[in-house]
Amino acid sequence: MEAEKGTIFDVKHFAVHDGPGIRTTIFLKGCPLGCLWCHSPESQSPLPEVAYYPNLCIGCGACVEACPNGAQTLGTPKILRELCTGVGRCAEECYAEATIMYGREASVGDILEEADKDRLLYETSGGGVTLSGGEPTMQPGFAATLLGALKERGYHTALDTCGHAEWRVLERVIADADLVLYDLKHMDSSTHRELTGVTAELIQSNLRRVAESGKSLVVRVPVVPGHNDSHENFAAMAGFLGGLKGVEAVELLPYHDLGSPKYTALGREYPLEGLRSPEPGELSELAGLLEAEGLRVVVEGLE
Amino acid sequence: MVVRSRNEQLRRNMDHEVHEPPRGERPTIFTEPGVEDLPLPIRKAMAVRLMLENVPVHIYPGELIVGIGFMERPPEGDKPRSILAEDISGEDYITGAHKRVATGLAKEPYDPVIRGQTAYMANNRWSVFPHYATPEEVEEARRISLSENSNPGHLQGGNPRLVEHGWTGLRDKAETRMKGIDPSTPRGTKQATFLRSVIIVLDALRDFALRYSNLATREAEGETDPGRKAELLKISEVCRNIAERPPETFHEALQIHWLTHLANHTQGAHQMGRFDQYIWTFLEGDLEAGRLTEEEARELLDCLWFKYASFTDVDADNLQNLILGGQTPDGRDATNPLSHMCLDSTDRLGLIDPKVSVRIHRGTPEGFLRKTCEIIAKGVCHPGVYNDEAIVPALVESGIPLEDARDYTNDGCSEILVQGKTNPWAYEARVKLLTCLERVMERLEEYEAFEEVMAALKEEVSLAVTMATSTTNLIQAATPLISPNPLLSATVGDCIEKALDLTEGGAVYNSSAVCATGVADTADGLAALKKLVYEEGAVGREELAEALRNDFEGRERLRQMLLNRAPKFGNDDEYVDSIAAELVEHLAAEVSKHGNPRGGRYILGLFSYGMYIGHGIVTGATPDGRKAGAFISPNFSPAPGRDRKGPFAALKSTTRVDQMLTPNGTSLDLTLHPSAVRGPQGVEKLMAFLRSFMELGGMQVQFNIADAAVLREAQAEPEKHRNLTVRLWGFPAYFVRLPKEFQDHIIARTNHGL
Repeated sequence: MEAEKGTIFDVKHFAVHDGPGIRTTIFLKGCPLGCLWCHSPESQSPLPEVAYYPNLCIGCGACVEACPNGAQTLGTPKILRELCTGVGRCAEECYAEATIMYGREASVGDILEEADKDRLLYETSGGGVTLSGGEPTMQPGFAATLLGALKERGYHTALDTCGHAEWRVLERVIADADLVLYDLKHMDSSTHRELTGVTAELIQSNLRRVAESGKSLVVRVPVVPGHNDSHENFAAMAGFLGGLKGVEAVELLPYHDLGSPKYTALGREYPLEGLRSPEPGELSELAGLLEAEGLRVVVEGLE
Repeated sequence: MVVRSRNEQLRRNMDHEVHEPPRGERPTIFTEPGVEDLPLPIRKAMAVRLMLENVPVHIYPGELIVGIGFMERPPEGDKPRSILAEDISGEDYITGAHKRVATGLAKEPYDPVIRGQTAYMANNRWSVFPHYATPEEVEEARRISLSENSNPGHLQGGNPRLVEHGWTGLRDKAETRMKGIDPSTPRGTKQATFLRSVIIVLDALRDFALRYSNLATREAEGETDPGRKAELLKISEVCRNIAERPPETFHEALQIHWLTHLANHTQGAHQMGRFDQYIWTFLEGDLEAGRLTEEEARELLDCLWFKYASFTDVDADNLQNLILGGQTPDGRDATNPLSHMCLDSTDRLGLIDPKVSVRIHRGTPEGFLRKTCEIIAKGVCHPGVYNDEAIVPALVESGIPLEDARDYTNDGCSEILVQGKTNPWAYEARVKLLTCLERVMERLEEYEAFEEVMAALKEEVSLAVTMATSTTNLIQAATPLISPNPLLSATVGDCIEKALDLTEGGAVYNSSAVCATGVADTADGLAALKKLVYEEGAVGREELAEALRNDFEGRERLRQMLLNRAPKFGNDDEYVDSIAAELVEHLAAEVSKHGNPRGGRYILGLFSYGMYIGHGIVTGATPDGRKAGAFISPNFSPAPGRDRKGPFAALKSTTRVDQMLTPNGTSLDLTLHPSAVRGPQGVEKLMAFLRSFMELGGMQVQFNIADAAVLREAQAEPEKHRNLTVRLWGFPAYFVRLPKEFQDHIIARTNHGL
């Protein structure tokens, strides 16, 4: 299961919301879920994908010439996606970066090199490296090797996971993570399925096991108006999480639609067009439900 | 709640005409025959005296520190002068700009001589300052663009000496020095004249204080509120005391500082330096003796803060900078209770004047660093942060003794100098690196290898440095012939001891600086040439030269390649950072070859101030993919929007350049998104960033906490964002009052930490 290479779609330096201190976040591509509110649609497919941002396009047509499959046009739609095989020649030729590839191969060595650049910042801030996604456990060998190598460097490591993986896989990946950021979306399994494409049982049982494992654990809950923000759901969540031992904090992540342009760029429809972000009052109310069970709650943007 | 109501009153005062320049004809000292025969320094001193006799005196309700400004307000609707007028008008020491004017790219005509010496242009608003020069002197000066009002900018008064000795003590020093002079020699005559000029201005300051003392007495007589009556009597007493002897209390120290500050403003000095250091002894004495409570001290400090703030509307770039913390000359941590009080006043009052900076070093107390970061995180755009660990060694390397190096301050802007002992000429000589590159590009076809390009560029840089220093030297040499400076000479060490005017080398340190702009853009251009032309052959030399000549007309794809397929400065990429380092090394070596007429040497600084607009306007298309006329990088920062790997990567790029080479200073200007510094965690992270900055040896960092979306909204609907503050080239300013070019530049900068 060891793997020296994997597919990533981004490296974010100076990340301040993915664990303690200032961090470097590595985004691994591919996710078993397809949440309606996903703000990183480019993270979902495990394969490299072409995206197109018309505002940057200079209309030079280099992409059309470069594409061996005739998938690039200067018309509408810009990309004939059924013809695209993801070889990425168009993006290579697009100097304006209007057409880009989401997803590239990276080795453990490449990533260590990126992380090493921020070493001083980890030391002064108590930060480290976070693997996020997509879903890192979709590339278990790579994720595990990477976390091991980072830990060997002495860096604090965090894993951001949706929890939807076989336990033996998840267990192996989190072995070298100092902190697990564990996403929880909905307590009702059939609703969970409607919202994310998968049922909730595996995620919940894995969460229980992570909590029991004694790992440092923070649970992250997106708050999506009309989808998972019912008091009923949060009361159930509070009951469930309150009964677990190792939850250090629950982070509420208010829904936002900043990911919407990426859907268009990938030739997809944004599923939640027009949905508003939750109000601060609403967030504090939901936080209150969790706090009633003795949980420590952090609301992003409300400190 | 006495404090709050007083502060409310002081805030209301600000809305009224706080600055009241006398109207009508500009005054003159030539009212009696024979005046024109007096030596120039004496006439200049008489002008200072006449000004201080003429300017209105006024005490506003609630004030404890008195003295109204007499700088003229700009006419209604006028753009803040120092933001646009002076900086676009092309002080082009390099002839390359001729071409730009010819092709209509420059908005202002280019004058090959010295037009646009910014320090001098600024002063035409001092119509309050009396005529004192003869027509011959005026004509002679005019030939090199100087005038009666000419003072180099970014000067400083000797604030510590002022409060230590007072006007009377300094006068005694001058009298004593006079005794050692033999007036029968020409040198002795000149020295005696100088010392007399100093004595005249010191007496004028004394009389100025007495005007306020008398006014306060009169107002006290008519005052019915017993509380206010007592305050007015106190004001009267304080003003009389400082007229008669050196200050002894906190109140007196603040008052003598403020009245001197008002006068210094007209002579090119606006900054306060290490305020917490030279004022603290007075406060400490008062507190120990039980003369003053902490609450009363806070109140006085707030009163002074409102005084500084009365200049905000007159001119956003009014150079009223003070710097807190750092080290003592013997190397201990210098932070004291007043350092904290100053930060607290700034935080509590939410004013953008005084402009506050902070010095940090390895021994800076955690609490002081935290308070600094808490204020930065609020987005009021100060304090700026200076790193002793980089600056002190750079000053020592430049020849300044360690104890004085540790006593550095910023000047009115971001340059570094030794407090109270330097006449810096900190920003007049400028080199536009991008113009040097532009000239090399005209001959690109000749260069077979990248090394040849680099060598040609270095030659251009050497030439530019020579031209910049020799032009400035001409002005420096001419300055004493039109505008000696007895007022600042009275306080700056060691003018009195040397019996020599500041403008002639009276200060202890007499350096001049060359400020280079466009390091990042030039390095980006060179990296693109190296990689795409010479290594990969992706574009031919002729093809590129042609495209640049035509401002990329029809060659947008090529431009995008230059922009996006070559490394850019600010991303922790050694390929381009090492080019910047080589460039700065060459610059520093060239700069150090030159001396000035005051016996000092030139040192290097990497500052653009607001010229990132103006220098862009006069520069054609460049191989970094920048179009003709487009703005360039601010100070020593990545070009706007090109730093894509976070603020730490930008910091690392800048510190790859040896900071020991830039004793005049450098500044990295960063924009952080508000979400990156939100809450207690955000403050922790900012502290960690500053500790990293200190360890890496960056010299200076200034933060904008801004959300580009909000800035765009403010551009569209200014009335909803009146108090939105942004940081310009070393000071905070209200965003909606900026010219659009400057608003656009800030919006284009990378928002880190989304």
